[in-house]
Amino acid sequence: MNADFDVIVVGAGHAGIEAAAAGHRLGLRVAVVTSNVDRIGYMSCNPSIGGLGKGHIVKEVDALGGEMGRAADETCIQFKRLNARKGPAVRGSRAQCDKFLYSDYMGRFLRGLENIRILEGEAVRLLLEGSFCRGVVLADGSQVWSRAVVLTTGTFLSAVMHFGLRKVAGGRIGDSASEGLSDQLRDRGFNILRLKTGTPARLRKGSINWSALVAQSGDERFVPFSVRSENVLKLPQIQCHLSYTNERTHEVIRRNLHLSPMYCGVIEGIGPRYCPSIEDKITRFADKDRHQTFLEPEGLNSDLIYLQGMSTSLPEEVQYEFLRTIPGLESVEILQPGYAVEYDCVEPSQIRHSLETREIEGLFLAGQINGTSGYEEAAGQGLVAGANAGLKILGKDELILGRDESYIGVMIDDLVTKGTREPYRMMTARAGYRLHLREDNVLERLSDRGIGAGLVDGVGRERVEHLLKSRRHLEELLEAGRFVPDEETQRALLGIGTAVLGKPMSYADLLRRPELSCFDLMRLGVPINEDERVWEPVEIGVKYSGYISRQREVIFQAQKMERVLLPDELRYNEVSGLSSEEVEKLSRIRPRTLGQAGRISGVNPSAIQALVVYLKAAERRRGPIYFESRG
Amino acid sequence: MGILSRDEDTICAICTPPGVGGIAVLRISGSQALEVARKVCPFIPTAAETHRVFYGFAKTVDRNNEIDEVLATYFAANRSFTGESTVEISCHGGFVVSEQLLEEVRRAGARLAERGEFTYRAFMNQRLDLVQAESVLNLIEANSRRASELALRHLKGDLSAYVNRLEDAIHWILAHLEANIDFAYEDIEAASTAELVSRLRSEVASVDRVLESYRQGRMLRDGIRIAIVGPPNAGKSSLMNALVGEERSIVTEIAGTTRDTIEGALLVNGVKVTFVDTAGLRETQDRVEQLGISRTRAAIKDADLVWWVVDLGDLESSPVDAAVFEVGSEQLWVLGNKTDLVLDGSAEARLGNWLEGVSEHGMRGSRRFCLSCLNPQSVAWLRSELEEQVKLEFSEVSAVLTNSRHRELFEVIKRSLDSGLELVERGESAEFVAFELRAALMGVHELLGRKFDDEVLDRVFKEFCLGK
Repeated sequence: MNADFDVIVVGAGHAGIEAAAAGHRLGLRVAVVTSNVDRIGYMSCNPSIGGLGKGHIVKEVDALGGEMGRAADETCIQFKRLNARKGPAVRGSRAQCDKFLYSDYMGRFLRGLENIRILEGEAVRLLLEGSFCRGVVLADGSQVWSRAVVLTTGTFLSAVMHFGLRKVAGGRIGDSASEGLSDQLRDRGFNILRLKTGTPARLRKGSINWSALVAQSGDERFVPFSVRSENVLKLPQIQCHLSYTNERTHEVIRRNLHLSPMYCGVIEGIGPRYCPSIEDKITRFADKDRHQTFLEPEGLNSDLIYLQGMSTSLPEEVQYEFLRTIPGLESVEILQPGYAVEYDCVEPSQIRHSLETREIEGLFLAGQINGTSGYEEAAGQGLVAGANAGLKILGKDELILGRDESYIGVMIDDLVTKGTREPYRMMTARAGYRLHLREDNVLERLSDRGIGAGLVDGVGRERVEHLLKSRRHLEELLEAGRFVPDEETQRALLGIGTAVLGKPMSYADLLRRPELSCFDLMRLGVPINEDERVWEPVEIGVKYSGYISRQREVIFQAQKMERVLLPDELRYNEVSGLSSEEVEKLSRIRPRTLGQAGRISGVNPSAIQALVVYLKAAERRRGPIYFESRG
Repeated sequence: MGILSRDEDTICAICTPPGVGGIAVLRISGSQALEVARKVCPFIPTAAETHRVFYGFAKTVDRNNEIDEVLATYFAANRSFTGESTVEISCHGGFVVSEQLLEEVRRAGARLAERGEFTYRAFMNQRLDLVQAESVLNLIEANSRRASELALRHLKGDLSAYVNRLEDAIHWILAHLEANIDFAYEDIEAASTAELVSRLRSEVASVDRVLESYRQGRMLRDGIRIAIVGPPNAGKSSLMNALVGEERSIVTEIAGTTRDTIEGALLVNGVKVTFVDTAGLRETQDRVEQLGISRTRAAIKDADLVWWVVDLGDLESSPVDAAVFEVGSEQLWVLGNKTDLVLDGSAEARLGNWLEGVSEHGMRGSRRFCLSCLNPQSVAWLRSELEEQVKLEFSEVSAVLTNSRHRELFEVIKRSLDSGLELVERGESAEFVAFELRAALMGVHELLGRKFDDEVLDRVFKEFCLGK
């Protein structure tokens, strides 16, 4: 059989772009099938990239050679580091972007890649040969053949939009739904879930009384997501504005709840608990007398204002009524009402860590089709799915990221181990080794993995090497350099508001004083590299060395379990000492490692014990059990 | 026994103590227990009903010889101590019969159980958590009524219930802390700092109380140790003999007779009280006696209570050892012995004056008794005082630690909670607090023999009211 392409990526959203780009970097021929070539990398909901836990993922995607961080840096119109004054592991970078320029950037990027073809059309069916996926059939009946397929269909599978009680087929305003694929998947034995998400109204800029609102600017300092970006913003920066709902708003919403499809049982899909609609918030936090909302411009030259935190599926006239009770919105005009979308997704415990499905070889899934929500979560999976589709074709080792390496690894492990029943959103609480998984050390964590898999281009490799080398230099400087308590030093120390020295002290030890930063050391004349991307990670490493090493110890202990691989063909019904529930769960989820087996709910510690015994016996029969070698 | 040796063998052992007794009990546990038992006790029906006793003659596997007239009790899987199918065979006591029966059961396909293996299996089959499993051993080894009561309480899950409650409390704090981190920008505060501080404080205080109970718990398990110390020939050995009622220590009039420590025990209100009679404390050149004195100092360190016996008739020449001053005043009783030598009734005053002279604070916090260990009334009085003390020591508390492993883990939990509380109070970033709380949870899981996993996150889902 002659394949037209190596990899077909269905969808050109945040997951599809990264999947296609990863295939490209591995030197493969890639086709991207999208029903709307003008909406590549389109931000269907909020016009921003990053946030807590999500900023981490963007940086991880970047360290693995992905493009999301570059696009966000280039089109950023307001940059903020969330939790900047809190500890290093819970800081999250967030860029509000001009969503039109973002989409333009991504479109140009994708079209500019060699060996990538963008096919406008709708994939309606997979071409299957036995249990192998060999391509897709488009709505016009044409067949496109390939060696692997990555599905990144977002909210489009059998999608229905809800505007109040009015239903319209479609995954997004202006785009049609994708029918057929989920039926075919269901026929092949996949468990298909129905999920729901929503988006707020877009308001006309000129109809808002801005003077009644509190303006909020971004940070002074800009630290780009991408190692390949400069520390310079390309676009003018805008302000966002803050307003609040009040009792009158809540009264209107409560009075109209029977018109919300979520509340009268029309919508069966399960919504994102962590990104609730305003109806949800008012019902669940009944004692809260107001809810905040940010008014965010969707672009520099756009008339659209996004109303963050106010997603709703109430009818448009009710949206008018409640919005106009909010200060600043007294005479607001709605350009696009908020609405809810119901869509199909695949219950994700049916896929592997590589994001390949168990049922169909060569079929990879990424993004909302796996039950996640969020652009960043989609991009992280897209990259892993595209990379693994390519690596499989090339006969190379899979790219599997550990929970101790990355948020992407945490996310995928959660999905394939526990499945999900609601749209999965990343949170820092999900990372068991949060103190290690920081934004600042993403290169130390992942660049070797990205470079090793062949996903990082020459420019990226050069920048990574340069940054890592500069950081090492600075670390050495801080350890080796010393202050002596002479008169001049003591005076300088008092000058920057810190205690004098009793005896000589290394730069690093002085930096450990809570009130001091690298800036202060610079003022004391220590020749510190002024690039924030050099000194900040080093400063964090010095200041929090105690906790960081304790975290390493926890990881080290857990790795003992993570390194014991469980053969995919292991017959759990032959392992004595397992309950029938455990046999069922282990056989279905097929954990990669003993550690993962222990994370499956309902699998008890005694089952892990039984598996160890079984593997030991197998070792006596057949040779050593499988240990993973990493790096 | 290593934790990795879990296997599917059917195991057997004689569960009654070795030697000649009325009956001996042999236990067989494992998936083949019934089949194995039937090879030796063919009278047990193939489809035996659980918790039923069957009567008949045990035979050798080859059916050629009868061994004994026995009772066999069958416990079905999930309804037995180990959680596995179990048969207990009661035979007539006596080494030969029980050993022969055991031999035949092994021939029938069971392996000899290792020490603790039945309990280990009960734990692995989730019949018991680790704390309960440990209490089984304590129950077996209990040397007094109070100790066995305590072990039984642990087996019934008293301490486990406390630890589970502690785990819930830590989960609550952690879940709310995590929600505060991840929803900081959504104008949602799951719990205020003041609430987190107050909850953490109350958990730290409760863990403190449990840790304090270790002394008490250990005393319940091992009993109370009382070191009897003092200058040579003050009557220490005579006192112990009078209390214990047997000639445990050699009593002579030659000072320095007791050169080693000698123990005697007594049950007081169901608690074992062990007296440690020690070598007299004085400066000496005698090597053997020197050695004895250093043991005395060690005995003081190990003791729960120190009785310092002095000779009322010879106070002026009584040497005072510094080791006595290091004992806390609540743990020290001063016993002025030989009131029979002080006939003018000035014993108390004499002792008080002397103590004021030899020590800075006159040992005013310590209890004082003037008595004669040769007078049975004196001894009875001292004994009743001791009973009061025992009652005082064992006022009821909710959870009592008896085991050093538990104490170590409680120390870990306490350290983590302390650090977490300190971080919150100092206004440090929540992720470090969360790290400490997770460390505390790991301690809890280790205590109960459970794994640590993402239960915290489940709790975030369950506790946090954004969802249901």
